[in-house]
Amino acid sequence: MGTGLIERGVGESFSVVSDSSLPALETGRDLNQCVAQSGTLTANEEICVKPFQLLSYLWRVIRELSGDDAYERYIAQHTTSSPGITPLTRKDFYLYQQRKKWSGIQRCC
Amino acid sequence: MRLPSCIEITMKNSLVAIFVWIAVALLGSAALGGIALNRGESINALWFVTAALCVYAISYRFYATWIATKVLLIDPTRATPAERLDNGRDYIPTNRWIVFGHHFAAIAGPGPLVGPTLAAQFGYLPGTLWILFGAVLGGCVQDMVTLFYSTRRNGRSLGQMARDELGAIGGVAALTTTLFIMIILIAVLGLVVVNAMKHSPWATSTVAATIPIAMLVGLYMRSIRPGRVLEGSLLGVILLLLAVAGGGWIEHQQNLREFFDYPGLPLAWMVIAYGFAAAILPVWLLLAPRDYLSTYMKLGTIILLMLAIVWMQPSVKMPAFTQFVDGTGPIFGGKLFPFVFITIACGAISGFHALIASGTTPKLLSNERDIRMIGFGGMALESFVAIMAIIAATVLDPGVFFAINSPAGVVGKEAADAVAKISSWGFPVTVAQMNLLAQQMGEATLFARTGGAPSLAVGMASIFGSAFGQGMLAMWYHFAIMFEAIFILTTLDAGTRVGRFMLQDMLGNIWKPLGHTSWYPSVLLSSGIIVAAWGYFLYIGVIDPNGGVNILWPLFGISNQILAAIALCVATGILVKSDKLKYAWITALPLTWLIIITSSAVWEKITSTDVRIGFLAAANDLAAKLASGLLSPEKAAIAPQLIFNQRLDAVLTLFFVCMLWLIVFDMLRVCVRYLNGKPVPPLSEVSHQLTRMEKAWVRD
Repeated sequence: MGTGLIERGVGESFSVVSDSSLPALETGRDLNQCVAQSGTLTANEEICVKPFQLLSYLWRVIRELSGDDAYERYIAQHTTSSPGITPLTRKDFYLYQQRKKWSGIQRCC
Repeated sequence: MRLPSCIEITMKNSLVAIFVWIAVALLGSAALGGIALNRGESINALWFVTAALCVYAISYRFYATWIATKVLLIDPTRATPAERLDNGRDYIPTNRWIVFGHHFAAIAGPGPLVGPTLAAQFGYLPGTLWILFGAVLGGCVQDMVTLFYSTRRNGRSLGQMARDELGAIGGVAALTTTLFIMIILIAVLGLVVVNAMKHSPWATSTVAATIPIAMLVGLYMRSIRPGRVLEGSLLGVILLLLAVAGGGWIEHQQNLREFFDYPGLPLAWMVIAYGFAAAILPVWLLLAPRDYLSTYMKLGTIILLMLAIVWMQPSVKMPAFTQFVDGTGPIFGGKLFPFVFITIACGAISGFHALIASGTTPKLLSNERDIRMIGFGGMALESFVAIMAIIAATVLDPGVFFAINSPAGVVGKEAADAVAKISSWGFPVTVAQMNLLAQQMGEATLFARTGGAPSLAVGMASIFGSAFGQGMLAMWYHFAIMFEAIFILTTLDAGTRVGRFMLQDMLGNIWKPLGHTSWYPSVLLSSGIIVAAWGYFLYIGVIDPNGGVNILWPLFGISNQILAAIALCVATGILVKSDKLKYAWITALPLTWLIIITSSAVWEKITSTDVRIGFLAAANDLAAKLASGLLSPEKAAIAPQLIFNQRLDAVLTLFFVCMLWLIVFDMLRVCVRYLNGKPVPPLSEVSHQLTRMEKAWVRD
């Protein structure tokens, strides 16, 4: 199941990738685990999906799908993979991302 | 009480599954049979939706699974490039639903909306069957297999894979075909937009308003609230809806409406100027924000259309077949075979998808297991969009459909002549009916609005109108036009830019500075060349009295199918080289079909003596008329350009088909050499590395 937690060997860089921030919504079990991971439910709590939690999950899906949370993910990745190096500002990151995105074939007929 | 054992539960579940799939198969066969055998007055559109969903479900569950497990040997324990090369920028392991969303947004363009609309001239059945079976046996397989092979090669592009696996010829063929298809695609899409805006102040002002709106959103996302994509998009969507309403207001202001009332040619020049400006402006200002808006509009409208069709269950009024299967159709000339397969490329099989499936998508996959859903499933969804487009086109009265889509050069300039001609075909329509419809849609006229967008918009407006209130017909019509125009313009911007990069890459081999993508003189030169290339075809398409679509759309279809054939050649070559000769038919079968249809279409386009089909026949006919002074002065003025263009088109189609045969023979050469034990380029697959993503391989 795509919990997205990444095991790395000692000394290897550890990165929080998008998969860990948004596990696959495949089964009820997955959803519960994802909610548990996001901190809204503790592991010992009775597993149940409340409408609010479902909405919060959907909101995260929408944010990731649109790229609205791209900067937060970049910062999380950057802090763990390249500590000590100043990350790009929000604006510079946005501009970099757009330039990169539109350098290749992104839209079809 | 004894608890049931795991084995008992599994057996019970598999029995249930068998019954469910038998039920799906029976329902699908009944729906397909109903569509195919119906010869009555009309048929409920829900049958189309049911047949489509059953065909996709069965092929996804059985065919795609079989390909994944038996042919490709998808390995969930294998680390994907996104995991191995994860750098947080190009390679990012991403949740499969997110990848699916990005992949679908990238592959679903205006093609599956326009092609089926045009192909509806043959009746509803040929297009529907080709969309369904072309997709599950051809398009979905192509997308899935290309995505798989690219993933196994660190996300290499189609051109690179062709070069690595087959040799230099394959690489060059893939690259040049891509560049040409891009040029033809942009020209034909530009023509669709121009025809939708022609003498329509409402449509023109709305489409014009999308430019400053996109720029405003671009500024918002860059400077006011950097990177806040959702906020910016919400603002943009609200402004776009206001622009549709504002267009209606402008339509009723005598002074203002003149300001937005143009014939085709000035509009074409504006689109060309816009294309050049968009290609050299920074992406954040126009392209990126427009893309966000068009993606939301596209997804929202497709979902809305699906709900409206399911809820309203409109009747399809077009017959299963029309007499135009004989090649005399008014929208484009040519018989059912091969032209229905050329006209509907996107929605059934689209070579362009291979570029997306070997671009960003393979660099995001967190597990190979997701390839079936993203590659096969993504294409199935696009095919479903094409089914909805064919429903929207065929719910119109056939007489109305032909009146909107037939060019003046075929049915006559005067409304009375057009309705008389269309009615004589057995599709009754009156001038009063067309005028009332135009008035309801807030347009001056709906005669000869070729290109597919206006008739699709009328179809969508009538479906939306019956679902959400008839009073808003004009608003729905212009919403649909705006929705089509906004993502056509996105494809136009993005395509010009990609064409520019490809050209700069080639020019860089001649003189190095020309290859620098940020050197302004090179940017201006290469953008200018690309815009001039598609601008030329757009210009000719607009001045052509037969509507231009008749020439350009088949040209686009042929080039797109040839690109698909190239992708399938690469895949077949790899299958043979991987010792999977007995399974190579999964790509060789659609490849053979594409070779047959594209070669026959090119043969007809070059050798046919019918002036509406053969490029050379049309050129010679016009040249003879010009020489004998039979043409009116205005026709004589443009005749030399039209003659030149027809001959150029003949050369171009010949070039496309030569590229195709070149790569087919190259692939066969590599396969025969391999089977005879002679040396061939080795498989460029990256070696196996175990995934470290925790238990990713026991996910299900």
